[in-house]
Amino acid sequence: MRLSDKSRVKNAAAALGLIAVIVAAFTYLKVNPRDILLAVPRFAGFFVRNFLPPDFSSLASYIPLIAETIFFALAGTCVSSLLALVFGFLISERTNSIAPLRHTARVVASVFRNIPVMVWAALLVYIFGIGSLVGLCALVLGTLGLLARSYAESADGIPAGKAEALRACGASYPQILFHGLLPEFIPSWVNWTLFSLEINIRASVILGMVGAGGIGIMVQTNLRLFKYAEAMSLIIVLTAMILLTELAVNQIRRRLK
Amino acid sequence: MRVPLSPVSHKLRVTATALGVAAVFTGSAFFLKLDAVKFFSRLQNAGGVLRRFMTIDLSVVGAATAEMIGSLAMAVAALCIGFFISLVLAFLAAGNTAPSKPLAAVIKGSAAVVRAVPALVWLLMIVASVGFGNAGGLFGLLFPTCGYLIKAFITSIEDQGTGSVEAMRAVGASRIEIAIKGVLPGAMGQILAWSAMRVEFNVAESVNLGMVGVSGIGAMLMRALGKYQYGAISAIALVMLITMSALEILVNRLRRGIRGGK
Amino acid sequence: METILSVRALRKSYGAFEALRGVSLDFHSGEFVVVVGPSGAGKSTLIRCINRMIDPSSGGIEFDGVRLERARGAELRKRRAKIGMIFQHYNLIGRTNVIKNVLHGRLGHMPFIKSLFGLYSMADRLRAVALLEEIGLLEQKYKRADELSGGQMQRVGICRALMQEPRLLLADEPIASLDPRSAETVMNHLKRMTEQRGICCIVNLHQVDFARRYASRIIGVKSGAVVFDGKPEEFTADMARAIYEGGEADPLRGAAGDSVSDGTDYIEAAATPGGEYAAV
Repeated sequence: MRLSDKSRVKNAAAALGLIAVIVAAFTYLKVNPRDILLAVPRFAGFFVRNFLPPDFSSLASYIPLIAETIFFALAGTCVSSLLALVFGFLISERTNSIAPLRHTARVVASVFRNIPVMVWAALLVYIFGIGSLVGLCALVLGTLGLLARSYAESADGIPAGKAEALRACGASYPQILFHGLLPEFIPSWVNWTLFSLEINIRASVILGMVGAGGIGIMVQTNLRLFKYAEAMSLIIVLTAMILLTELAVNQIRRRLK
Repeated sequence: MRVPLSPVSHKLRVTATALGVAAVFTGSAFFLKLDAVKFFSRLQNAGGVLRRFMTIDLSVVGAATAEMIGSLAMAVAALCIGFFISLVLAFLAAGNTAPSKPLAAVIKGSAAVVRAVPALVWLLMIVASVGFGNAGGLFGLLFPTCGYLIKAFITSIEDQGTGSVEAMRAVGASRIEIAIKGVLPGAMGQILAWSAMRVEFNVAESVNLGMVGVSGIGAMLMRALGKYQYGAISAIALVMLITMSALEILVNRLRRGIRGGK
Repeated sequence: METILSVRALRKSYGAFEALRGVSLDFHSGEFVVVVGPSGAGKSTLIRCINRMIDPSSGGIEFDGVRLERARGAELRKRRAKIGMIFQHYNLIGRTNVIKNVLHGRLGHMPFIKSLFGLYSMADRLRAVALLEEIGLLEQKYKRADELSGGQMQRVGICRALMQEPRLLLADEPIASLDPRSAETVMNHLKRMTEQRGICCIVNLHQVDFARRYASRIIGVKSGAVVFDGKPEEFTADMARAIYEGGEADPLRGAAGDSVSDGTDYIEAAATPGGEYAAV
């Protein structure tokens, strides 16, 4: 396979552009490669001296916060997967033939998606005050944007013939939606929802760091108070929690197949 | 005579699943003391709050953009370094190119653990060790970047199968030759696509870092939030939104271009 | 014979391309009409204009005394409910079981809320079971549709269409994706079941030999116009050659024209799915 001259020029230009961006990035940061190399032993030494061994002594008092983190992720996933279903169907050409509505929904979803969850949480504090509602709403908004796009892509992937067949039977729009498209859509729905659970459990951990509920606040506090060993115990627990979620999700996926 | 639409066992399974999901949600909502009444009463504030956000303080746009570029630069730099580290480690760990099985298992296991720790936690641990600043942030971003890329790259390399590897081994090619000439050309498209995707995550993480730290656009936002400077908050959020949206479009284009070119 | 469908001066154009150039035809109850012609000749467009899956550019369609080209919304759905349709790719809902797929034929006859909760009447359920039994798929009634073979899926498609209690049945290349053996089974069922019920059946086919064997009337279409309309025995080899030769969008051009007489080559040649809907 020989590349044509045109695509060769294009590839070369792309490579040059990429190198320029990378050089610009390093120059802008004024980071010396030596600093990064030196950071490795510094981090390793600091880590071993201060973070280890983890101090599990006060772990029991954190259990309610850890549970809260998990429940945030679960509730957030439920709400966002239902809302995203509506959004996804509003965005997909298969399910929504009104172009202006489609574009509006697409823009709204991309706004939700492109503002980081942490930023959402911080902004929502203004509306809901500090507490569970902020955390949940932030999770829902962030996940909603992501899921809506994925759902819409999956809905677009359903063969047009399925809807056509029911239309030919004289079925109305809601009937086509519920009897034709929804059943075909369920596998991707379940898959993306499980995926969003994995994302939400991580997001829920860090959301606490801006005071939106959950265990994150304690990680943050311990680090600020230089109680590294205690922070480490929390980090280990959180990591185990995330790994277990992934394991559980994979199990569910396998059983559904 | 009755003609059920589906067998009883199927109906039971569907009902049980639905009840299970409903129970999980109500259980969680109950534990979190979520209050629908409170939600809707607070939601009524939204109009007033949003109206105040409608003003944009143009004077902070310049500073916010500079900070945003800093986040972008950090994301790109971390990705660049992480790319090469991950590529080497992925070749050492992928089933079809790994030189030793125990080494491969160690790499895969470590990557899984690194991935499981939220990116922000990595950043905080490292910033605690080496201090805030670009070197610290960059180094901190390396961990989640590598954790993610190693897994993705391994998949792409393993997708190439063992055929070309065995063929090249048969003619006496060295490991590095096999990796560079036998496997990399086929896997490169996917590898670049994964890397492009990672840019978005890295930018979001470096914004997050600022929100719990002292510098960057995140910190700027938190300061404005603390002082109730609505105009500044909207300006900063808008800069973020525009940057992230532009980045998303660019990354999607790149990925499509990579896929189309292959 | 009662005329149940009249098509008058039907035209359909896509930009500059004219898929149908003024087609006028009458169809009668109990007829088994096979429409033949090369892919791209306008067979699919014709059949889809009849139940308004495609809106014609101009012309009239009178079905059961009603002008379909003017029907809209609920009125159109009510009329469509009386016209069965089966497809080349079956278009069953794969993750739904067979009996529910068959009962989908009733959707046009019931309100949304009733169908949402699966409140099909006992009469409908019994009829679905009877249809499945007649077509030899009763055992599979709780199987997911995507677990069936192609021939079985098309048989479910026939049941779904008959479930509508249609007066007219449209079939768009029903056997183009099937092996010759399943194709024969499907055609046998289709012919027998529509004949018994006195339903007018319009079938698009590539295969001239199948057309001769099953049709009570053959219509030849070329470049969007009717070039033959008559009894199967009048459809000579010369006629077939004329239709398939030199068609504007004819992928079989050249080689195909020579082998019409024995017909067998056509099955293979036509097995490559063609037409504007093949890609769906």
